[in-house]
This record gives sequence, C-alpha cells and structure tokens, in this order.
Amino acid sequence: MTEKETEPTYEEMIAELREIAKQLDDPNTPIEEAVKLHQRGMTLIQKCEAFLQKAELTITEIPQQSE
Amino acid sequence: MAGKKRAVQQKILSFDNEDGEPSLLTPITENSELGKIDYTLTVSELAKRIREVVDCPLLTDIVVRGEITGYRPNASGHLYFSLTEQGDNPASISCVMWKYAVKNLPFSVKDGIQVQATGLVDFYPAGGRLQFIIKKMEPAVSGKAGLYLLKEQWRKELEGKGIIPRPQAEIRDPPIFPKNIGVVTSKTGSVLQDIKNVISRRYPLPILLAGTSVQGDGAETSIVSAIMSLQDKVDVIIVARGGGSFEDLFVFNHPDVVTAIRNSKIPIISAIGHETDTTLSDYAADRRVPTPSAAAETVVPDRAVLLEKLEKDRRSMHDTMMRLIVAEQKNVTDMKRRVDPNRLTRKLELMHQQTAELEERIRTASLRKIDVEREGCKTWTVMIQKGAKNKITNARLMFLTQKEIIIGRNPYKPLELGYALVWKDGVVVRSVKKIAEDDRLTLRLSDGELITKVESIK
Repeated sequence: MTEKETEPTYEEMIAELREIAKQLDDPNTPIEEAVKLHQRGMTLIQKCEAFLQKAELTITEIPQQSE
Repeated sequence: MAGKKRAVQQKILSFDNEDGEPSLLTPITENSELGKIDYTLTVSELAKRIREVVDCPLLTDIVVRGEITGYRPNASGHLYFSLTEQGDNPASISCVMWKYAVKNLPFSVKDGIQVQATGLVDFYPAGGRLQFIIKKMEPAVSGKAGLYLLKEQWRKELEGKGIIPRPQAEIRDPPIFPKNIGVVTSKTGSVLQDIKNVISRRYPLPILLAGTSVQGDGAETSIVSAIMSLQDKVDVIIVARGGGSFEDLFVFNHPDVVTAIRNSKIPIISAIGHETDTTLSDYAADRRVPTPSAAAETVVPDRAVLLEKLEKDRRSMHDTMMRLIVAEQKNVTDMKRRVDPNRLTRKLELMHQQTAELEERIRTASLRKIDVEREGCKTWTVMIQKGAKNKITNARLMFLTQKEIIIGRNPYKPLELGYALVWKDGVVVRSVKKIAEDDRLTLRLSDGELITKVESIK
C-alpha cells in the first residue's frame, strides 16, 4: 500500500536513471555497488517502458456552468 | 407580414396628420367610457398613447451614435446604460439591451466607449421613461475597423493593468511529463480532433475537455468558465481555436478572456487561429504556438523517442557494466599472480641477493677504510722515523762540536809550547813548598813523561 503511494513518477525515475549512469561511470564506485546500481537501472528502465506503453488517451468532458 | 405592413402604413398616415385633424387621438377618447365630456386620462392610458406615438418609423429601426455612460452590470444578463452626447448639444437617453441581443454583442460594454446602436424608441410605462431598446451595437467606427479600434483600446487597458504582456519571469514551462491535459475549445470541429490525433500518436494521455463556444457573443463568458473549470484538475491547458477571420477570433481579445488566461494557476498554451493571427490572449498565455497541433506537440513528449532513448540507456548501462566486470576480472587475475608462492620464492631470492650485495658493499667499504688508516699509519711511521733520524744527527753534531771543544781544551796542549806538568804521588804540584828534597816527581812533557829526583829547592 505504502509502496504504491511512493511509486516514483516518470520524471523521478528518469532522474534516478541519470544518477545511476553517472555513478556507473565513476571509477570510484565499488563493484558491488555498481552491480546493485545496474540491477536498479534495469528495473527502472523496464518500469519506464511499461509506463510509456500503457499510457492511454481518454477524453473526459468537464461540465460547463454556462451550458 | 402583410398585416404588419398595413399597420405601419396606418401609423405613418396617423403621424402625418398629427397637426391636422385630431384623427389619431379622437377615436380613443370617443371610445372611452368617459365619453366626450370627460378628457381626463388615466396614467396607463397616457402611457398607452405615448407608446403608440413613439411607435413610428422615425423612432423605429434607427441607428444612434453616442457614448456609453452609466453602465452598471446586471445579474439578469440584460444591459442597462445610457447613450450620451456631450459638447454643444448635450443629450442623453436611457438604453436597454435585452439578453438575447447581448449574445451577439462583439465587445463588452464599458463606460466611455463610442458606439453605434441600432434599435427603436419605446416608452416604459412602469418606469415612466422613454428608452432606446438596442438590438445591435458595435463600436462607433463600424465593422472591422471598429473592432480593430476596440482591440487597441483593450490592449491599452490590459497593458495599463499589467495583465499583458505576461512578464518573462512569470512564464511557466509546462511539465515535461504531464499526467493529463486540459483543452479549452469547441466540442465540435477539427481542432479537438487534431489535438487528439497528435496526442494519441505521440504520448496518449487523459484529456479533459472543457467545451466552449469560441466565436460570437457570450463566447468570452463561456471561455472564461471553461478555463476556470480546469483549474486544479490538469497539469497544462491548451486554449485553442481553428483559423478564422479577424472577427471570428475577436473574442480572444476580450479582456475577460485575456485576464482569465493570465490568472490561470495552470500553465496555458494558446493556439488561436493561424500563425499570422495574434490575439491579446497570446500575450497573456505562458506560451503561444501557431496551431492546435503544435500545441499538442508542445505539451507531450514523443513516446517513440522516449522509448528509443530508454533502449539506448539500457545498452549504455550494459556496456558500462561489462567494462567494469572485465576490468575487475583483470584486477583479480593480477591479484592472483601477486599472491603466487613462486613469486614469493623469487622475492626471497631477490632479498637474498640484495642482502649479499649489501654485505659485499659493507665489507669493501670497511676494507677501504682500513687501507686508508694503514696508509695514514705508514705516513706517521715515516714521519716518526724521519724525526728520530734528525734527532740522532743533531745529537751527533752536538757531540762532535763538544768533542771539538773538549779536544780544544786538552790540558796537555800547552805542553807543546814547552811547559811541563809536575805530579807528586799522583797529585799535580802547583808550588815548590809541597816538595822536599829527594822527592820523586813525575814530569809530563808534550810527548812523554819522565821520573826525576829533587836535588835542591831554591
């Protein structure tokens, strides 16, 4: 339940991916950390793709007072 | 239709005869219950007469030019104000514009606007006043030119209030990934369809449509309420209208619309008309785009591009990871080689060799030191020996000198001059008093001795 509430937005996920890429490129990142980062990166990419794939167009009309 | 025409003709006749015989008024009083002798009218009768009098062509379907004054907004939707002429011939007349007529009004009524109003004069019995019922009204300079003037007037007003142009600092960027999009446009027509097409192709998202009329009178109220209805519901709003004439787009110059756009809490993209059309709304919006399709492209990213980028990210992340792993493997191999036992032996050998070398160096150095010391010793020895020799030589020289001296002091030396030394019993005799007769004396001459006997002493 809590997890669902804290589900990151697409923008947040992209921001995190960018950070992960930066850390992976950093030669000072320990290999254990890099493995974890890589795993997290792959999960995020999957999530982003899923998010983009499932986007759907709907049209809802907002009732107008004047009509 | 024909009947109405006839009635009008009748009225014209009646009016023309006003100054002649009392043909218009007489029948009314004649038909009244009061009869010929009583000409007193009730107020309503008077009002009725007045209405009949004003119902004539001179006061019907007339166009009046004047300045709007005394306008007060009214909740009913009808407009009440006066048309006034100032200057040499000041004059004023109360005006009413019924709600149905207001719907077609191309601008908003404000005091001070010069207008041309078409309508008829009527008497309002309950209020006891003559008023001009306006059916149509436009800015004093009629047609498109008038609208241009009105637009300029509104522009000045809005600029004066600081509503347009929207200051650079207050221009908001729409979110890159909106959750939904609000659209203010006509429910029918191609604009909504264009927006729908672009969004479904690029990045399908929920659209909240606030349908509105986008042209004609009252459209401004509809647009304003559409904008208001989307506040707090969407991440970005598109206010759009397809291409049209200057008059068609005119409502988007309306101060109410412009103000609503400027005050929107949600960023607004304006897409009104075509590229060449600019309405005052464009200056109030956060961004202006040339067409509704362009607006749709502005508010959503392209999903295909995003997916492609994600794929690129995935590949790049994989590559980085592979590189890291290869580098790490190399590291491990390297480490393995470094902890190899053979390597340790080699290292020990190396240490041995180093130790031996050190030992050799120390030995050589010590020997060299000893040699130096020895050399020093030798030098000292030579020096000492030399010193000693000198000393002996000196001593010898001294001795020889002494010898010479001693030799020079030889006691027998004077004997060579003819003297003689006299001993008696081994003692040198220096006086005759020590000698007695018959003593045996030894005489030493330079080249020998002789023994003598004393015969006499003198």
